[in-house]
This record gives sequence, structure tokens and C-alpha cells, in this order.
Amino acid sequence: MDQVVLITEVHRPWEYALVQEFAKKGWRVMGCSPVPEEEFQDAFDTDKIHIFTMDTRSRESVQQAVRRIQEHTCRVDLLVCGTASSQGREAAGIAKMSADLVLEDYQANTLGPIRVIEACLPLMDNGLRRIALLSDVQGSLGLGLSGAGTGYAMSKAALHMAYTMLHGDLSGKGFTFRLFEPGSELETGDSAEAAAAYFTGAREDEERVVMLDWRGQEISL
Amino acid sequence: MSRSRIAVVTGADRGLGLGITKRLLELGWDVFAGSYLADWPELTELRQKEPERLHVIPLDVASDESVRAASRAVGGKTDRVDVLINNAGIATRYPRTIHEEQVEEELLRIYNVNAVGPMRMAQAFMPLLRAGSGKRMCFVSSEAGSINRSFRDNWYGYCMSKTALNRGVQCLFDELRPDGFTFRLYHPGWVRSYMSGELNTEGDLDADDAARMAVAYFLRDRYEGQGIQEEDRLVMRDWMGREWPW
Repeated sequence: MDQVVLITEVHRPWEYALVQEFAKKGWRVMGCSPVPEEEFQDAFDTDKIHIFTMDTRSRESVQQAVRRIQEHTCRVDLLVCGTASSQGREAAGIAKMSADLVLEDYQANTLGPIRVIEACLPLMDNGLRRIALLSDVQGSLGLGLSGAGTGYAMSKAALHMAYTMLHGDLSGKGFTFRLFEPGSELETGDSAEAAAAYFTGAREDEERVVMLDWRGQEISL
Repeated sequence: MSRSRIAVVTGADRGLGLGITKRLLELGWDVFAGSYLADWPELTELRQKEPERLHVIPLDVASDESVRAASRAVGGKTDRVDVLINNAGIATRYPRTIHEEQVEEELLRIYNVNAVGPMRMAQAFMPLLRAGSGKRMCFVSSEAGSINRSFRDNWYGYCMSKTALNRGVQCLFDELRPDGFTFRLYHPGWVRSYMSGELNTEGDLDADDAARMAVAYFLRDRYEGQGIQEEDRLVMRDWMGREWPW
């Protein structure tokens, strides 16, 4: 039986490349995107890929998409939550901060994955039970890098807390986790290939809460 | 207005914020106390005792408009602020695990107050803080925001908000430390206060005791000498002086 991966934000180049990687590996892919699914009609030449409209900023949209996905599969082995709101929308510096954008980043990058996980958990009981989240080095408190938009960095730091809490709760129930920093757009192809290998392979330290970049380097949370 | 030192305190109606306000007044400071609960009596009673040095300003840190209005109101009475104490915070009323449906309105509300509120305050009060002699920003955070010590499975909104606050303070530190600003990021302990809307009677610390320790930490300078300036390192410390990992 084919394994099933659900990937969100597949309208974005990196997540799109990941869809192709998993299809190459023979997985069935449930790709989700806020862009209407009709726009993907000719994007893929394989019946292994199904695209669904899903805006992760809306619980209703997430739940509706997951109900439709259940018409195609009763199981999701691997869930990959992409980044909905990217760095670069806001300028660095407190003087230029927009509180509305800070809240939008939280809605998209932190609450979005929580909505998707919440909705997909019932589908994950009988599969691989693996959850992968895309993040960014800018969310790392351990590194404390400067130069990012404040809201974006805060949203990713909050995501890391959610990841840590999920790990603590679900790892005892057989779930495993991947927190991944995909790198720049220039590295999309190599990065997506590395991610697919990392997301599907075993790790000898599943108990540890770690973030890796596409080169396999560990980034402190 | 007297020439004493001037502080702005958010969430000053009750609990830790009220205690911080009282302690600063005892130490001779002028205080602008942000009030969210207009009909809560304690701050009004304190104002009657200290009409010259306590200024109560309406303030909802979750609102851009309210924060800007508060900044204008303070700026109308003083040309500087020495210390900003971001104390306002709320906790969850609906602790839920990932196996239950999260209450989205609450997740957003907690983030808006606990994480975005202090950023709004820093932004709006920046001109007054730059004019002050203290240039000190204090943030009441929590152990619940420490990723390295995370143990909860059902306080997503609160824990995430405090982690995000800590990251936001890192961004402020990177930007403003070169301009002479100093920072206090603080876990006040488990205080008998009103974080969840009702008085928590089970906390370890009385609010006034917690405030006394908080103010001592907020106002004390950190070590400088032998080539070391400890203010150049951002840390989160608790009421017992212990440093918390991120």
C-alpha cells in the first residue's frame, strides 16, 4: 500500500518541489494550498498527486479540506506543514513594526500548523505517525539572530514552543517529529530532496527536540 | 511635574502591576500607571493617596489606538520616561491539549496582549524613552516561555506568547542596546494575582512581595568591570535570581 503524505502551502516553490520529490519516491501526495485547486490542474502529470484548496489561516477551510482528503485516503502517514507567511513582508526595526502584520504572521505561521495538526490527528493513528514542520533560523532563541522582521521571528519562535509541546505530548503515543529549516530559494531543489530523505528516514535520536537545516546541521531552538 | 525619576507601568490595576506601582512610589518615583479596568478601585484609591506622583492613564496594550493615546497623554505631562515596565499579561482560561479543539479567539487574544502588547509599547514610547536617563525596558515574561524547560501539554496560547515575547525582546535588544538601552526580562514566579481573570489564591508569592523583588531587579544595574559589561548579554532571570534557558 502506498504511503500518504499531506503537504500544505504547495503553491510556494519549496513546498511544490517537495510534492514532486514525494511523487518520485512513489508516495501518494495530498497537496494543500490557499490558491484554488483548479489552478494546479495541469501542474502535475501523475495520478499520485491530489491538490486541495486549504487556507491554513481559517479553521473552517482546514477542516473542509481534511474532510475532502478523507474521501481519497483514510490514512496520512506524514504531515508536512509549510510556511504560510514569509520573511520580508515587514522591515526590521521597532519603528517600522506593524502590529497587524505581527498578528498575521502568528495566524499564518504558528496557528496554521496547529489547525492542520488538530484536524489531521485522527487520520494519523494507523500510519507512520510523523509530523514535519518547516521553520526558520530566525525563530531560534538560541541563536538570537538580528535582522529579521520582528513579527516573523516571533511567529517562528512561538512555533518552536508549539513543536516542543507537541513532541512532549505525542512522542509517547508513537509519533515522531521533524523540524526543518529549508534554506534560501537558491537551494530549493537540493533542499527539498534532502528534506524528503530526512522526513522519511529514521533518526537515532528521536527523543531529542531538534531543528536541522537542509545540510543536516543542527540549529538550536 | 517633579524632577524625580519617571516610570510607565502597564497592567497596573491589580496584582503584580499594582504592587510594582506601589513599590515605585515608595521609592520616590513618579509613575504613569496603565489602567485597563476603569472600575477596579485599588489604583484609584492609590491615586488619592499620591495625587502628585501617580498618574493613571487608560491603556489597553492590545490596541494600537489605545497605546498611541497613552503615549500622547504621558507626553503631554513629561518630556521623558526613564523606565518602561511591560507587566500587562493574561493567562488561558481554556487549557487544552492538541487532542481538543483550541479556542482560537483566546489564542489570538493572549498573543496580542502578552507578545504584541509590549512591542506596541516599546514602539509608541520610544521617543520618551530616548529622552530619559534610564533607557531601561523591563518585560514580565514567564518560565512558561522557556523552550528548554517546556513541560506543559495544554497551555499552548500562553506558552507560545511568552516564547514569542522573549524572541521579540531579543530583536529589541539587538537594535537598541547599541543606543544605550538596557533590558530586564523577568519571570516573577507564581504570583497570587489575576492573570486568568480571577484571583489565583494558590500561587507561591504574594503580589506585593513579588513586586518588591521585581522592582529591585528592574532598577539595579548589572556588573560592569574587568572588560565585562553584563548589560551586553540578554538574559531571563527569575525572582530568585536564577537565569532561565531560552
